[in-house]
Amino acid sequence: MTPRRARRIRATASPLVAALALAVIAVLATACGGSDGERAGGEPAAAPAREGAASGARGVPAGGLVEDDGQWTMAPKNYASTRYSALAQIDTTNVDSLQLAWTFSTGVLRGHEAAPLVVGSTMYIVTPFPNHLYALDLADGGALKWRYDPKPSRAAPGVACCDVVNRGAAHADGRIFFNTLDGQTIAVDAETGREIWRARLGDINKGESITMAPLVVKGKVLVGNSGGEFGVRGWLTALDAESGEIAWRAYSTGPDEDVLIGPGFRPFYEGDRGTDLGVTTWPPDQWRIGGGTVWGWISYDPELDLIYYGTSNPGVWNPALRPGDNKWASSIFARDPDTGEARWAYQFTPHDEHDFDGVNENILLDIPIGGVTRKVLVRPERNGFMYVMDRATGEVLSADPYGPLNWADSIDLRTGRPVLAEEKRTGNRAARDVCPASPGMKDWQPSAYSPRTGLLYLPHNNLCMDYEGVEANYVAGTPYVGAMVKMKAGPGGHRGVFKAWDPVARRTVWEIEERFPAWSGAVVTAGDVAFYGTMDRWFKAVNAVTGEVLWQFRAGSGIIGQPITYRGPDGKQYVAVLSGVGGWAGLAALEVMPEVDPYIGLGFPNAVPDLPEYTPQGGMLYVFTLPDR
Amino acid sequence: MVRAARAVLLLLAAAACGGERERLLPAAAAESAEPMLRTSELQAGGETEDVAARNPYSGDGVAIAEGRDLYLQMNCAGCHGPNGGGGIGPPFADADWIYGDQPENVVQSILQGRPNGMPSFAGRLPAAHAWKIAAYVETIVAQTASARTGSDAEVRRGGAGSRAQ
Repeated sequence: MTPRRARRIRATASPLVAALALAVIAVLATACGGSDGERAGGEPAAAPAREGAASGARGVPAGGLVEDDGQWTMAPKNYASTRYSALAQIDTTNVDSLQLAWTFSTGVLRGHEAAPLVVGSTMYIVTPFPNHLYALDLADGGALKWRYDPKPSRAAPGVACCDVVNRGAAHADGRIFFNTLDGQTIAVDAETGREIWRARLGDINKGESITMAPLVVKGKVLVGNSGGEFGVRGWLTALDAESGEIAWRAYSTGPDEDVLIGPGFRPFYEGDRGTDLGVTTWPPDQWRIGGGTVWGWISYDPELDLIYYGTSNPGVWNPALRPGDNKWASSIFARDPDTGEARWAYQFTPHDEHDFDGVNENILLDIPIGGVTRKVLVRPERNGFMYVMDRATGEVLSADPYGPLNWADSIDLRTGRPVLAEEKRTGNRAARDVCPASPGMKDWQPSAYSPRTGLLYLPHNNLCMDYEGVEANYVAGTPYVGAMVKMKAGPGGHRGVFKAWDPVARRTVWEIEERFPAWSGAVVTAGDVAFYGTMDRWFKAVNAVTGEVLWQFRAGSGIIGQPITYRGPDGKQYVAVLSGVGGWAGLAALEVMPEVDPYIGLGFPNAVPDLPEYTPQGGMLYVFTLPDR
Repeated sequence: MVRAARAVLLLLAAAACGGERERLLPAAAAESAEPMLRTSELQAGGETEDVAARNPYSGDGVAIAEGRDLYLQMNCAGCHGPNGGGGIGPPFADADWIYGDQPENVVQSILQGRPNGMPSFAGRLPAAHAWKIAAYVETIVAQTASARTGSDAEVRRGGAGSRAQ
């Protein structure tokens, strides 16, 4: 590794890219007509320089451009999961004067992946284990309103594969819902911090934990388990938001009855049709410990009335121990939120051989394809392909690599299956220089989509690996992996990228290379500023059109959290993010020794052994705003 | 507390161990005089000598090989690393042993579990197996210690009580 290498924006110099950039700018004018609701908050209209547009191809979030109330009530901002804010006080012309408004220490050292929530004049943050929930008064400069301690089992970190993270809470009807590492979902009164109910959904003695941010849809709290490295059987559970009672649970493996596959199930591809595929695509009984956990993101389309979410890697990692497609691991489900019944499913990576979980975010857009507006979901998948799928049917409309990959040549759109590169297959053999590595081109770190630029903003990885399958022995409550993995930097030597991707033109518009995997979330605003953080402690504001870094702030610890932006009680726009390195990517900053053992942490610390030279641990919330005029 | 734990260990060892060799194990510790094994460097009333059971598998190549197999089969490697570099659990390759670095400390950690995530293997693993795993862990520590510069290794030799959390 070359330390201290300068940051560099790859110039968008080619005529094609330049033309594309112009087209993007042209597109802005149609997007900036004020229909995005920013005027409702007294925000300025779009900059005059962007007027005078031609027609262009861009996507609109499912459900249209709804008015932005300035709050942030769920981690993905909205059901379409755009992480786009229509606030525009902070824009490309003034973001360089952004200042720290206030801070708050979480008192926790481990990886902070959560998105803060803002509801009314209160901000809520949930910490990594031990999962404290804080309410901070925005009308009083971030004063502490209350703290709720769920007192999770002290032993829970023993079944957390990749640090003891939590990805955030959700708000609905005066309640804050969040999950604890030891497998509980808790509802707390948003005003008082009083516990309303708690539901124990997972069992650490089976290796189950919960790290995901719940989503509340139609009075149901949707929660999935973690533990794909512990022989857990994955599920998504819907809880009655009022009572905490289980409304339904859909397993990712096993008989159709358990997977909630019935007569209404209409998968697009032949290979996804059949009876009890969650049993028959496995060796006998392996599905019982077959992974497919649901630790990532859920989106919801109110018009089609479908939720969308993905499932993790199959268990055990070593694919030689589980011949078959291993359904429904590394897959996506579309389900009826009332009953949990599956409408369609699609397996991104059948018989996964590289730990390519399928849990990433699904951005729901209506975009023009071949002159027709299609209802799609855009999925920057861990396996390195950017899928655009018809979200009504599950058809893959396109699947393009969004970074260097070599495990597959392409996705066969006729069958939906990847065309595998034989020399990169694993099993009871060693495969060298497989790209991407197990954390994929992009792991959990959620992207953001701007309807103004028509671009998706992706924090992602640039890692490759050596992978060798070995024996594995299932002992409940202990790791069940069976693979020796050693990761390294991908082509170019940088280990992360922040990228703008055009889902209509299906290509990269600009990208910023990062020293470390870009493991934070992203947010983009109507001020055409995109925000993200880095593990070497920078919080960056980028021009969403050009990729120019306009402002950056050095935080106390590496940033792997999800930035948000909101309108404070004083009418000003704020930007908030948690710093605190950790997570799978940040394990190297914890107490591990990759220098004596390249296989620890599922091989990740070996790729970032220099991380401790750049950041200590430590959780801190940072809140920024513009100076008063 | 420690006395009770040792009693449990003795019972386990008695249940698990048939051969001559096994009888040498925790019994040796039980017969030793007070004070017994500690996990704190801080000693009320001033320092006294630690007495720990010697691991008779220490240096026994066959037993160490068995210990290595057990280390992998029981998924110790999944948390502490195939070479002891840590991960979900703490590394063995540094000098920082929260619950003590003596063989008996290690065996107790395996069988009793530890409150912050180390599972208890009591009932799953005969005590003799735990001692073999401890013998293997000892070789990992020795290898990495010899590969490192002296200071850390010296701290390790300093005794059972290392930094507690």
